[in-house]
Amino acid sequence: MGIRDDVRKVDVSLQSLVGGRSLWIIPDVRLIPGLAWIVVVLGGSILTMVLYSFMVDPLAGNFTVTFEHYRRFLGSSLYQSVMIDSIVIAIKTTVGTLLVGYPLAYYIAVHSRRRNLLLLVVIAPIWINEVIRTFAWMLILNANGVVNYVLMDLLGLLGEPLRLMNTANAVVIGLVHPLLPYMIVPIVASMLRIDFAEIEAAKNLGATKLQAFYEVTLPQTKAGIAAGATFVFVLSSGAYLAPILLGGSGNNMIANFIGLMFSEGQNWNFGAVLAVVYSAVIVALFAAVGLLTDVELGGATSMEDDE
Amino acid sequence: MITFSALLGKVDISNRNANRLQKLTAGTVIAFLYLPILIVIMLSFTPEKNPAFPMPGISFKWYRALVEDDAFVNAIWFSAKLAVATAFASGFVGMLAGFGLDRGDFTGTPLDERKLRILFSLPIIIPFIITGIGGLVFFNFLNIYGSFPALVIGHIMITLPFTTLVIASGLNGLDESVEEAAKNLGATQLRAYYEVTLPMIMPSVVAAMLFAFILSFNNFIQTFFWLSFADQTLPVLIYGLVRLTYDPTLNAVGTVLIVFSLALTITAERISSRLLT
Amino acid sequence: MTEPILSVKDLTKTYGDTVAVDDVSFDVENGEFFSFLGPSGCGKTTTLRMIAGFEESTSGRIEMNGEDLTRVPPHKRDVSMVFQTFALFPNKTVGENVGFGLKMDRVPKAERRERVAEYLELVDMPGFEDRDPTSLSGGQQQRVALARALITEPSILLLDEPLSSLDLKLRKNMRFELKRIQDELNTTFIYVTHDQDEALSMSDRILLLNDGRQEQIGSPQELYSRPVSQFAADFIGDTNIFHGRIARTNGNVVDVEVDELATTLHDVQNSINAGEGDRVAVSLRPENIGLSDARSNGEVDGRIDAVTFYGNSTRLLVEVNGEEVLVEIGGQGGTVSLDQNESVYLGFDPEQAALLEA
Repeated sequence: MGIRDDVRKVDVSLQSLVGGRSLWIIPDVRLIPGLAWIVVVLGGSILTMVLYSFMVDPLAGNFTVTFEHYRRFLGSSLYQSVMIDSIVIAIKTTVGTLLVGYPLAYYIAVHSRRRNLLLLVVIAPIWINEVIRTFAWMLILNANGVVNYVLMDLLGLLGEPLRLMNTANAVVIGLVHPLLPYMIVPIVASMLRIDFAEIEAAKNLGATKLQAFYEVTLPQTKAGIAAGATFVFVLSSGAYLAPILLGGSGNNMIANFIGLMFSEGQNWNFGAVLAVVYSAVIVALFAAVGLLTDVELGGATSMEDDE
Repeated sequence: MITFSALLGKVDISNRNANRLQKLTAGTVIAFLYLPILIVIMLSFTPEKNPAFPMPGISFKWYRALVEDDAFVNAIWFSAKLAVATAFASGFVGMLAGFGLDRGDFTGTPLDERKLRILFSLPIIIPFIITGIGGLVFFNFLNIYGSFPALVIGHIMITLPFTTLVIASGLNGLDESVEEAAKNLGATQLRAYYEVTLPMIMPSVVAAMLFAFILSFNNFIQTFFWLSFADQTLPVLIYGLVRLTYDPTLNAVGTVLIVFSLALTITAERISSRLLT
Repeated sequence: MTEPILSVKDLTKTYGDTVAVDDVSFDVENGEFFSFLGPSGCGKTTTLRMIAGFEESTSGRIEMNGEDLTRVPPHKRDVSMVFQTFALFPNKTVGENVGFGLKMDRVPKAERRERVAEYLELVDMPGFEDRDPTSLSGGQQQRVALARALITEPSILLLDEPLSSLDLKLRKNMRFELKRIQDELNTTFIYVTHDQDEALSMSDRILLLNDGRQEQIGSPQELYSRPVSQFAADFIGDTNIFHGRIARTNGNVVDVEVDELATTLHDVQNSINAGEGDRVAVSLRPENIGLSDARSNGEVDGRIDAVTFYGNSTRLLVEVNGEEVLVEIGGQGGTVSLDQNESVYLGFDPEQAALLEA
């Protein structure tokens, strides 16, 4: 009896903890630190924010529940139009990344020898600081930036500089560029699951290259497109840098307004409301995509007939 | 009734032209991806104060200015401190979680592996503005707003999905019997980890920490809302300068960041691909 | 009678609703080469892993030298294991791998080095200490794994299908090696395999498992000649299973009316204690059926359906009363004509027949 046995007991429990063991509803104790971050930090952040949106003035200590802030939101056409504008830009960005990214995704999927290198090339820019990347677009789209330099001085096509900065389109360009990899990678993944023998079978049965692509390849990449579109939509709808640096004050998006509430506006409650409403839109989107893809998978056995 | 498909059938491209077209589009998109990067690098060498083409010559003066500018140096130092702390902490927590995900026995629990993976991905699924603002109010509520620990805690949250995933994948490819063999030969669980398992997953752990480092170093949106007025990270400093006025040093710091990020990415990729062999 | 080195009693392992090991009991004697044999999923590896301590039993006891192992963690058990995938430590040299168990036992470096050299000699791989284990061939990795497991001089060596990832020729060589080493060291070996040739050629005794349940324990000869169930008769070697009825009992032997052969086998060993009138099954191995071209006494006539030549033996499928009977004869049949559709006469030796539950 005594110390040696106590040490042994501690050692045994330590060994079994490190070796993995379940605790209550948590399947493995080693998950606890990680879960703590998710539940406490992330959960706490979101919870505090949601609660603030329902309180009169929590910063001043006034915790009474109120729906006033939400009423303000519903009554304000300004903020509602900001929400809609953000969604429009997000849609444009999603379509843009799809149109630009799909052909490259196809190229990558088909060329197996260089595939890893190409994927690295496509993904690498993600690791470059986003402020710098957006700044770079400022240099390009500026009145005396690269585009105008090429069009005016090099090619002599224009007499006056093109006004590209501070437009909605500048924002879209500034978002398509960094988000391209997020569209390309899922599409490549879905293409790799296609058995290319099917394309050969289609050609064998009389289809041209284009027909084979449309009938065989494209439908099977739907899942990839859906995934990519979801990523791009969520990331672009919540964009902060591109709208503020490239769009100017006329093209602020929801993230800018939310940020404003918390810095200069000093209206944390209303900011929280905006954040909650925006989150709800995103959640609704995920739910919709989730339902649609489930329905797709359920009806996957049916052949499609176009009229 | 002409269907779209039939329409496509009437158009045919030869194989050679199809290949040429593919190469052209692929090349154009890749050029588009790297154009801004090239512009920044090029303009970092202009002797002019204005970032315009054509460049009258080549000069390193903006790099010299960068090194001499206290604000930049302090911001780089602060970002580095934060990123290193995050890398180690997130690496450690991610390693524990990775073991839990890969080795856990999920029979009969309500929290199955799939749900847990989704849970651990939440910080990147939820829009960054939300986690940024949420963190702001939460840290403020806890009275730790702006402190270095609060920043580290927040950055761990941001990077945890990545470290967990990378290490869980690394563990997945491991032959568990090697660890059992060690125990069979007399090693306790901890000893077996030390002698066998950890050396074998070291590439994953290093790769995970590199990812965490660079994600933390580069992070703008959440850090922007979490910093107190006293401190600056490099991305936040750059943002402030970009908003106010044009500063040619920005191209220099941009180039440094570009080269640095690409180097880290290639290193991390090399380590990860060693894992797969 | 010395105490068995390992005693397993009513061992059961369930995973949720699935029963992987169902109430298995057996003893292993010191110095035995004991095999667990059975098809995939029969529970043999699970039982082995429970002995090693990598799985916890749901119920039952495992005793080694009289001591209950249930609470003993794997690193404290006096058993060593050779894994199917060899499980060599890739971050250590061959020498470090082999010496690992000694390092855990805190054996000093100099002594470790000596013993590592000694055991590498034993497995016929001298001088390999500084090599990288991932650079070795399958057979070489196999031997290193063996040396690593034996160096700690365990009471029992557990082997989990160690030869299954080697090619055929290597496998046959390794069987001799393993048997040689076991004889030399006189360590108790518990060997898991799904390959009956391996089990039959190497073991002192075999535990036959099917779907978690133990079918039979015995020497290879017993299992081969005296199977106790249709599964046992069928799993090991090839056999013909006929059905019939006990016509008469006489002490230890019975007369069986065999349906398919339309004949009666006299004086068959009554190993299942069947009574008169009981329905039974009879197993008769192909090599125990005689073939001739003339009817002499009490033989059954049939027609050759197919002939396959195996070099030192020939197998035939003979149709008897609408049933196919597998017959094996040495060489090429001597004087009997072995063409398809030939008429032949089959003779059955009741002494070689095994009586089974119907």
